[in-house]
Amino acid sequence: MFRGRIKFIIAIGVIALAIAYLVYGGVRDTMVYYLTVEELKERVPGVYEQKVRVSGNVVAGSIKKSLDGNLEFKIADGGDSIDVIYKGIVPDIFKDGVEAVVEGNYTSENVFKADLLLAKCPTKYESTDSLKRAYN
Amino acid sequence: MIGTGSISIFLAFAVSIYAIIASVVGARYRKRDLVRSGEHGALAVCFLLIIATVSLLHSLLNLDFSLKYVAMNTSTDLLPIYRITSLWAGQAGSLLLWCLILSIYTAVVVIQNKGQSRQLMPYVIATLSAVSAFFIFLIAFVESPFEMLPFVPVEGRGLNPILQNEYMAIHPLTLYLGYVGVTVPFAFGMGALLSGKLDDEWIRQSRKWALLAWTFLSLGLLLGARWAYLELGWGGYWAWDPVENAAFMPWLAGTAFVHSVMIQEQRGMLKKWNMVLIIITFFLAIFGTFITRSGIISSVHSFAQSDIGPYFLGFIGFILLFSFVIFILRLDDLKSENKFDSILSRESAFIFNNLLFLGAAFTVFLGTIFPIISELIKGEKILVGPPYFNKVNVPIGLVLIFLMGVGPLISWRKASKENLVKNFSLPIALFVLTLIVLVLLGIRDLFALISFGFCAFVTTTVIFEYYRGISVRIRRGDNLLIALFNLISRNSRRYGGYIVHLGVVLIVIGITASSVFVKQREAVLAKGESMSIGDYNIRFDELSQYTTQAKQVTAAGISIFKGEKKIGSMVPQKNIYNYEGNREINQETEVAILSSFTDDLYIILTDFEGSKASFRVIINPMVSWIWAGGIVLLMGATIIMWPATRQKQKEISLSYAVGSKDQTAEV
Amino acid sequence: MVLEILIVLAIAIVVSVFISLPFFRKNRFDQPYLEEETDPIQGKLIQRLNALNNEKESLYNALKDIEFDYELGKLSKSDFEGLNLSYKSKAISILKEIDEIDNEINLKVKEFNLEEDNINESKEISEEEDVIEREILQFRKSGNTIDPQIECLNCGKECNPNDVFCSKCGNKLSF
Repeated sequence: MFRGRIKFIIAIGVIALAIAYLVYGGVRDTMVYYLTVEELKERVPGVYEQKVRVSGNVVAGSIKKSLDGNLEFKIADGGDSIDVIYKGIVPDIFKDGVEAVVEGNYTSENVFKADLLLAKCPTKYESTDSLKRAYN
Repeated sequence: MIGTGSISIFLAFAVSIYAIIASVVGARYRKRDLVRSGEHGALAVCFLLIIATVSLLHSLLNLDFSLKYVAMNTSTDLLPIYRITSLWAGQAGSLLLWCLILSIYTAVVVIQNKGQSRQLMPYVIATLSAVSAFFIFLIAFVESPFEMLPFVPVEGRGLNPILQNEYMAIHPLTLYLGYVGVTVPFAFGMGALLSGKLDDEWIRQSRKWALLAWTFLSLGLLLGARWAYLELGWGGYWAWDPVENAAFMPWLAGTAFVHSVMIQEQRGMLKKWNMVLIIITFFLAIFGTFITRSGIISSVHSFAQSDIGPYFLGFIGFILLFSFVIFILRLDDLKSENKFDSILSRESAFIFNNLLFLGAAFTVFLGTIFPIISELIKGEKILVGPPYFNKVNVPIGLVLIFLMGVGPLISWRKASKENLVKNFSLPIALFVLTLIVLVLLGIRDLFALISFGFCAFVTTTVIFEYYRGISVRIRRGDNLLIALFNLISRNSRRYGGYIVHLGVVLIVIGITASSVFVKQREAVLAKGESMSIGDYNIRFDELSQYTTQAKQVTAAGISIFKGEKKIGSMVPQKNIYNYEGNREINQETEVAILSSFTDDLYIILTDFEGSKASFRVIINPMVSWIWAGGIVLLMGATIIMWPATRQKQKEISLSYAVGSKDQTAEV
Repeated sequence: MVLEILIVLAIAIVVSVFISLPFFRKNRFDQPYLEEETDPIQGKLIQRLNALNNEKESLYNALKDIEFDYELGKLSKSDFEGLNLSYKSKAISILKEIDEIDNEINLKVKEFNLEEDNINESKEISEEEDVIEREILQFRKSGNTIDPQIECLNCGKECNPNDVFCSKCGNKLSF
């Protein structure tokens, strides 16, 4: 009986260790820094060729689409802005002024090559301003 | 009706607090009238919340823009059906729905247990009312659905177009039914701890509710995946998005729970473990609700962020503290009736099942809150994406599939060599056979091979079980169909469970195939041009543009060929909604999907210019198996939950008066 | 506006009345708070009875299960017979104890009035359970002189099923 208990505890230990190992490896291999445009620029040149995620607002008028799917635009927060090039699925929400999140590498030519593009509604709180306009 | 609705909520808050007090005091001082009054209170809360909900629905249907909630979520061009579903489109309305569902569940618990479980019930009701009170507090004082605007807009912001489809109508509802449903087994656990009645009673009641909640969570997850697949248009169905994870974590813990309760019921073991597990499951459900609503972790589901975050954190902290304190206080009373005999046993398989499910839940939890932790510790936000979740959960999932086959066949206590050989030879043989066949077919991906192999293993065990069960019945004189019917109806938990496992197998096959063998191509086509992908030839015929009442449509007509034969046409679209309103999003991409048994052809119209259009074409193999598996899973779950046609033994309530006089009654 | 006030008032009144109702139906609440009440000894007896009945029910289920498993071919003959015997003997000792308690209670019950509407259901025994109970009664009556014993899994000594620890090696007896 006692032996059974030990076998059992060993098995549980093995499972726990295996999971811990998977988690450790998983995190180490896939972790990505989430930066603002400002923070990204601050980390140059160390951040070149490091996989990062950057968020910023799409600069009005900067969106250039070509039919073969290449997309170029700028994102900014506060004063800084960066150029982004991206080829892939573009969320419906994506347009001037939205908050965009890109994931990829900041190349040494100071262009962000993104392989992932997400966009979010700009409103942080449900503001009633848009309703006021309708009223007036 | 606004006043009525609003005041009903305040009344509901007051009454739920009363219900807590009455139940607890009545239980402590053994006053039946107080306890009964508390139960009536719980019923009253349900009544009041129904009034509040009806009131809000009334305002929504009539587009009463003086209400902020109505103005923010509807518009004059919104179809009536979506005015109803907008009840749960926004923060305040969905919180009201949460409260309503919880109060209905509470009422059902009260009614089902009239005259029974008198020792347990008051504390169960108190717990349910306490959780209710918290959520009602939120809609009464923090985020009221009946908040008025200082002016009355002529037009509302409208409902996000993504939410205007049938899936959105059901997906949140089923998820809530699941999330909220987890509260009930938790309340029974708390009731057991608080009352000291730590025998099997709480487990028996919890099992049914946990199963119900689990079923709804499963349904909600599947619908969410299907909706993402159809509407979000990136070709996939699961992104490990924080809000998706928020529902997945309680599902994982819940699956562990519905299995481990079987061990407590059959062998009186794992009592402490089950208590801890239900607390964890409930925690994950509330935590999931918290993540979804507070916006603390950025997600593709951007619910409007609001002030309720801190309240949730406080509530979560309180629950964890309170439940673990009373758990520890009662630790000595939660003794096992039996011991473990061997590592090769059903008990053992179930325990491994639990460990793995919880392990998976833990890894998902870690991955989801990673950015928050890293920000707290290192000061910078670090996140882990889908690759992390897949890397960690796929191996766990594979072992779980294997266990799914082992569990039902291995014997209790200690599996003898005889038992192992008898039961597992055939399934193992089929496992090996499947591997050989697949390798011969050219499949080399290791994960796919193991996954399909294990699926074959499990399927064999299920069929084997059914075959044996039917044979026994046939020997007893039934014909085939009657045998099957009797088998399932007399052992609904076992044979229904097998069907659920089959459903899971189908889903796993679908997920494996669509993950490993997916193909994707992009092309720019001029009118009349074709492209090929896999076995398909895709010809772009024409671009048509027209306007409907709600939007300007650009549709690409496409013909699909396999070889020379035309097998169908597809029309992916890119539309623009006319009305600005709640349209930070007024663009809408409608994907076109051609589904078959073997794969889905998935076409996205990405851009167009003049007579040219660009497309992204994806072949997702066997995705329809996922949905089919979901249906099978639901059928199985229904069978398990179906009320037993033969009453095995009504509970003996030997409540006769053996003695006297309650002193207070004389007054 | 006035109508709404009246409606709200009505709702509030209905709710308050409903919540206070239990306090006014005094005659229903002359009884003690719980089933196993007042007389602590009696209470303990009834508690024990409930526990025994629950255990008996789960034993019956276990017996039914192993019989089915054996028929299915999942359980070998020796495994089945071993479990069958041990479950049955445990069930027998439970039935014995139930009988004893029943007798004690019946003596006391004759002295008091029974409140009819509080006796819920007496057992509704299903077909299969009937069979098992009859079988077990048979087992007892057959004058089977083998006093039902269970085997200590550690040392093999046959011990009294009511014992918690093995009288030879001291190991905890599982059922």
